Amino acid sequence: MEFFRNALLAGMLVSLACAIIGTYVVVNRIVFISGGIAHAAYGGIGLGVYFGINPVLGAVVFSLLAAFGMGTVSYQARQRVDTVIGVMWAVGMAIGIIFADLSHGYTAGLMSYLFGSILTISKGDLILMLLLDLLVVSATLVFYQQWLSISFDPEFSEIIGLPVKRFYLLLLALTALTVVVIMRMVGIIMVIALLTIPPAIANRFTQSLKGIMILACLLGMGFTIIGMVVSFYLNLTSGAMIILVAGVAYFLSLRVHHGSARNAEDLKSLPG
Amino acid sequence: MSAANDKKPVISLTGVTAGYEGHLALRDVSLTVEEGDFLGIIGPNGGGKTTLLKIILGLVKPLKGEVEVLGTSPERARYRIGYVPQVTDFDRDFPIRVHDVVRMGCLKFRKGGSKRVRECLDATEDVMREMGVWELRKRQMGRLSGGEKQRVLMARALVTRPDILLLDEPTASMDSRVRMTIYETLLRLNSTLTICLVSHDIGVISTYVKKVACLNQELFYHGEKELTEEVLFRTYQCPVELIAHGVPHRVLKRHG
Repeated sequence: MEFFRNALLAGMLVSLACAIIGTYVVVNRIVFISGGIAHAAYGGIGLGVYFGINPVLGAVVFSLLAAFGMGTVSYQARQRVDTVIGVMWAVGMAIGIIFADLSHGYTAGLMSYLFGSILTISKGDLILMLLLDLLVVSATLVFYQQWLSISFDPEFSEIIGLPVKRFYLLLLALTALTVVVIMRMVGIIMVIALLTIPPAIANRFTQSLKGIMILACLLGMGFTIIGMVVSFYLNLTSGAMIILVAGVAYFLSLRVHHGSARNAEDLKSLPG
Repeated sequence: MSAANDKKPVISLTGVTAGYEGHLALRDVSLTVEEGDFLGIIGPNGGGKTTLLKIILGLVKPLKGEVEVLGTSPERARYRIGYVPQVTDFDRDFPIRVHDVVRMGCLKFRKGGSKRVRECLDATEDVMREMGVWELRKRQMGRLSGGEKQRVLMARALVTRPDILLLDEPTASMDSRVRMTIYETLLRLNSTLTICLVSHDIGVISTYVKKVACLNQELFYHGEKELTEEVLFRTYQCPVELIAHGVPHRVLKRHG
């Protein structure tokens, strides 16, 4: 059962980074950029396999490049940003597929990056996830106010002297690293779901950035545990099962809590 | 343009031309704002008002012309400007409480050390009371009315202890009673602050501001508060908007 214990541990570790970065992704409305970064990372995996380097290393390099490229484009130009991101998204993916074609015999392993392979997670992966968590948590503790300010009102933030562009690129770089780690678990195709669903649900119940992060983390952990256990007993793909659980919870939260959270929240915070 | 007196100009634009991709938003605009002024820049939507604000803040570079703010470049001076953006620019669903919005202003002092940040944070209560939003501090920003949001954004600008207050459409889509209270607050602030605002609505500006400027790509500046027949004639393009609101010069004179 060591593989299962590792898988559960990985689920916990990933949920933490995912919740924090996912919250920023949702409130900054950069879901599409995150999807682009995730898919562009596949180019690095293809190259890694072809040249015999660690594919994860290739993915890290590619996703960081994509984050920097997309970040710069979206920060400067106001128009057609989605087109540029869409192109980078597809080209990254295409590079990965072509190099996978060229490296005969390894294509089966590449599938695990597309759909995730939580049950093959090694100690090395766990250490990587722990390091990412430390990085993401400390960055958020140090820059919480700055990131809140920049996410809410980048123009005002710039006027009072915050280095808005640098903070934005740092956020995208952390998003890139998080994406690579989530990829191991649920696969490139479903990365966005695990990044956005927990904060989206959490936001229906709490209205502070901190609160969303904490609740999203607990939700993410819940989804990964339930998803893994179900997939283990039914012998189904674990990554897809995790996302399915999260998706079901999302739709339930829309029904169960429709409208009432906000009203309750507003009533509670009335003066007097 | 400006009358000869001992006041120093805090904002001065000389021959500024600006725009995007062949479309000019501003053409050869020259404008001076003096210390203690309460200037209302009016003009139709798309007349370049927002571009003008962004040039003063150094967020947009002019294609031609000179800009000086507080004796230096806009990039160096902008941290001394209290900028109040349009309330409609914000994501209604953004999870942030009113007090946290105002606290944002204190990030300005983070390089001056934690003591200055602390002082600023302590001052948020007084400023919020003055703006009448202290009771709202725990509410969600997105759930406030337009007038309440405007006061919160004004409080955020004021905690930065600015020399100039710059407002973008401070009363857009608010009813006349709320507009009046906002302008009365601005008038009070004007005793210690230079205020410059833009609006597409002459009606709300007329009673309170000391000076009016008309902007429709070109600036038809008029230092006096009252618009004369001659000015209306000269600034024909701009008063198209004014005329739509009745007979503006009469409104202005009555309150003059």
